[in-house]
Amino acid sequence: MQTTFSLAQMADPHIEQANDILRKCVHCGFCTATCPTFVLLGNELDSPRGRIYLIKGLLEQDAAPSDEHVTHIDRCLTCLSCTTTCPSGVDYMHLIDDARAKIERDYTRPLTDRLFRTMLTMVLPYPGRFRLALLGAWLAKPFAKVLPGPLGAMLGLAPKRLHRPSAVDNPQVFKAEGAMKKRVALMTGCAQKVLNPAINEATVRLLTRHGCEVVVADGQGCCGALVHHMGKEDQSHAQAAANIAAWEAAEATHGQIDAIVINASGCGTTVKDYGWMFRRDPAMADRAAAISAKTKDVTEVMSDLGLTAVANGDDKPTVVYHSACSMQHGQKLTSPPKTLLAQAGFEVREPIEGHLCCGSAGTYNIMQPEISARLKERKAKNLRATEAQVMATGNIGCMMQLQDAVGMPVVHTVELLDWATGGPKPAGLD
Amino acid sequence: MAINETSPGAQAPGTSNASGYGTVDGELLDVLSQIVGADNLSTGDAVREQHGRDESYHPSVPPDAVVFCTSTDQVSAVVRACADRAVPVVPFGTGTSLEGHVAALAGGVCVDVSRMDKIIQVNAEDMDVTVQAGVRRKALNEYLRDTGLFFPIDPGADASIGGMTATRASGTNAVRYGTMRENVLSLTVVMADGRVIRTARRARKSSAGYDLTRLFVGSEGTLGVITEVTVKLYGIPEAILSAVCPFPDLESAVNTTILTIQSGIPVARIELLDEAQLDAVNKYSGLDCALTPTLFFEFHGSDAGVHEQVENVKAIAQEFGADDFQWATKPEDRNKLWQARHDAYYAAIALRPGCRGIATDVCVPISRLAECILETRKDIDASGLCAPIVGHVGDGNFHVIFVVDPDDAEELKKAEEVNERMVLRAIAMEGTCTGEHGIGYGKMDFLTAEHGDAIAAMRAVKLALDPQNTMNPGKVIRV
Repeated sequence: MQTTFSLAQMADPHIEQANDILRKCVHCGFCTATCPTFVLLGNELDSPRGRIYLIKGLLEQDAAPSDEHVTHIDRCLTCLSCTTTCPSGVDYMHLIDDARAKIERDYTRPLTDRLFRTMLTMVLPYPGRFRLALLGAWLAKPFAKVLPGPLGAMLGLAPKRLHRPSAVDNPQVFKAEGAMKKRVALMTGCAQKVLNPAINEATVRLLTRHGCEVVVADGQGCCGALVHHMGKEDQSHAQAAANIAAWEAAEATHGQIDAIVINASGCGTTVKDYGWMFRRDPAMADRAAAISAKTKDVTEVMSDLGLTAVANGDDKPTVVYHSACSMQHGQKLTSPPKTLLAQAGFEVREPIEGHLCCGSAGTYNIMQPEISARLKERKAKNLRATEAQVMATGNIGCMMQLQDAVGMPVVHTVELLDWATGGPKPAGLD
Repeated sequence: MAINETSPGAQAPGTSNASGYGTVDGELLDVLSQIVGADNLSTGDAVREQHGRDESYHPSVPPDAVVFCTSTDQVSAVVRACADRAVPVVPFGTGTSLEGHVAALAGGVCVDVSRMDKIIQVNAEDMDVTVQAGVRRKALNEYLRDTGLFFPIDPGADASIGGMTATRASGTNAVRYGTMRENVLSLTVVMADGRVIRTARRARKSSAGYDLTRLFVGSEGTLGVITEVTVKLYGIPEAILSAVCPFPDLESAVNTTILTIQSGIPVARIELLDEAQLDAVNKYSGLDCALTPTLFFEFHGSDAGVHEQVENVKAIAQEFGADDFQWATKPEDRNKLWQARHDAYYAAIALRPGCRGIATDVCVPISRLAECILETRKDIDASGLCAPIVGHVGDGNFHVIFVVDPDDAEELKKAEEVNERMVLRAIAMEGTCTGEHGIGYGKMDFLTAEHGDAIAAMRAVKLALDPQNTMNPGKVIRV
């Protein structure tokens, strides 16, 4: 793609980077066919190529973003399906990150929108506040249907019951069963441990059973993805820096950490990108890159270790595996979860249109409830068509999005792996 | 080549228009909005910009408004409303043309038919299908998958059947199955005044009157808007075999092609890629072909028939010093190979990030092919340009893709000069300036060089069917 940035503009490293990304695009349009919003809406501007043109115009003209820019960029799910399709290797993820940051800087959203976004960023990443908010949401849930747009959508998503905090999530060290093969740090996350603490519990059991010493580092928090996708770069970098410091401190205390293990693929995509986020910060660049280099999805670590002691049982349900976008497009991990589930003795099925997003996409199901609902319905229909007995996935967002829509229990992949290797049967499968 | 016509450019809605055309004003927008619904009418900059641009190096010339139609009736009503006001109409399928076909040189209304994407009727027994104009070629073949039939015409882009008809497109299969010229049976067309006609029935042949079907195939939207197309289908062959064969030099590869065609071997595909193009394809599509002129083959038929074709072609290739055939029989391997070939244009552009491609497509009688390609290659090498060659050589058709920096005037000029020499060379060899891309507004001067006095007859046809010159004005011929 031809670009026309001035020399003065090119002096800005952000523009220089965007220029490199834009010039790789050969506008072939293969991305449009695999973009969920284009598939639904059929508007070029709601396709990756259309957004790339919008972003190019936005950056070249260096003007304040228009309502049109914001509408179509906001509609992007950041599912990154386009980056899987693109033969030219256009780094769409970092391009749209920049566009979002520019919108956050140079565009004034309506007041209610601003307040709502601020509220989300102040609540969701903080488990204590989130728990309180869920309590309030639970009380307000009957009104979900009558409240407009995002507010109603948010209440609709609130879980039916609240879990107690799990002791697993407190800073501590879990010893490996038998000889220690690896020492890993588990990212316990933010919203996930409030919404479904069983996932971290199953992860710790699974990892320790397979010879991992699991460190839960003090001072870790949200990975920063939530605010990052709203263009709030200062906050996302602060959260990322806190995590890096927490894991470094854990390493200093407990000895070498072989991997940062993440069991929510959305967070995994972000932590694997810390190196990029801090690449221009001399004090942080190397540290962030080191953390990113050893960040692994839990299924990557388990593939390295190999499943042992798979318990035989003929009552194992048929599993449909839903690959989260952050897993298959963000981290490009497609086979490890399925292979592990098959090794654990499950019959694994896959839905058609597996590349399309379920519409969860972080806070997308709150901010864009209509598109999200249509994607959810489409995904749920494809999942139901497999006639599996349980759905497994590796991302809490998809679990929350789909649990009431698929007509079967929804569990995390590690819960099934834990069960198959001697752990308890996941709740909901009884 | 210098394009002498200056484009009036897009007019803002409501302003007066010096070219004698009516303007797209609020009143017309209201009428259009009533026809297609407000959601299917856009005057936004980004949508207009996108609809004024195709895949070529030609700059975007946006229309004043874009309407998204979903039926022939809607297209008819839109065209009639525009005709009543002498407002230009530019049909748009997928925007993958290569000569600025969709640029709204005189402003006006762009009629986007991409949402007319329904398969209307599959007649498996007759081996034909009728589709709305916006159906894309890959979607059609996906739809036909279960019938055992396929539609063979395959330009590089995933173009719409309507657009392919309008540009008389072809592709890698043309050597065996022909181009859109041979494969369109009938069309539904909205004429310049809004009337709807059907150009033929479904019979495989007909002597009934003037062949309007062939008149609209390749008319590039200058005579009417194609809204439905009936095309021939073919049985998926029992055996399909693909092969890659590297050659010691360009000449031996081209001579192998010529002898294969002259021997009457019914190859389905025979494609040439030169070193530069192979380098691009290796990088873009992850192939690992040796960097030497190479032919991609495909053979269709029964097991025995394919075997016989293969033996004959191998014998010919050996004569010219090539015997390293690599075979692909598995569908996934074949698909990878041909996808790579189809993506050749994008692969070439990706060689130089930020650059644009000038795709050319001269076509000569097969006996002159070697001469034409070799002289062209020499000319390119002397110019120092980045210009890979890839071609449907079985038809005598080849592409030089000039990958140029649009900001470098000198480079552009050099490319235009090499291109002009190549086109004139092809015409001198009794060939054509365009085998499959069409004229648009990029090749109008070449059309004159090629057809001479026949241009006057073409102009008479154009004015008879479109007296106000509102259908895609400024394309194909000057009125």
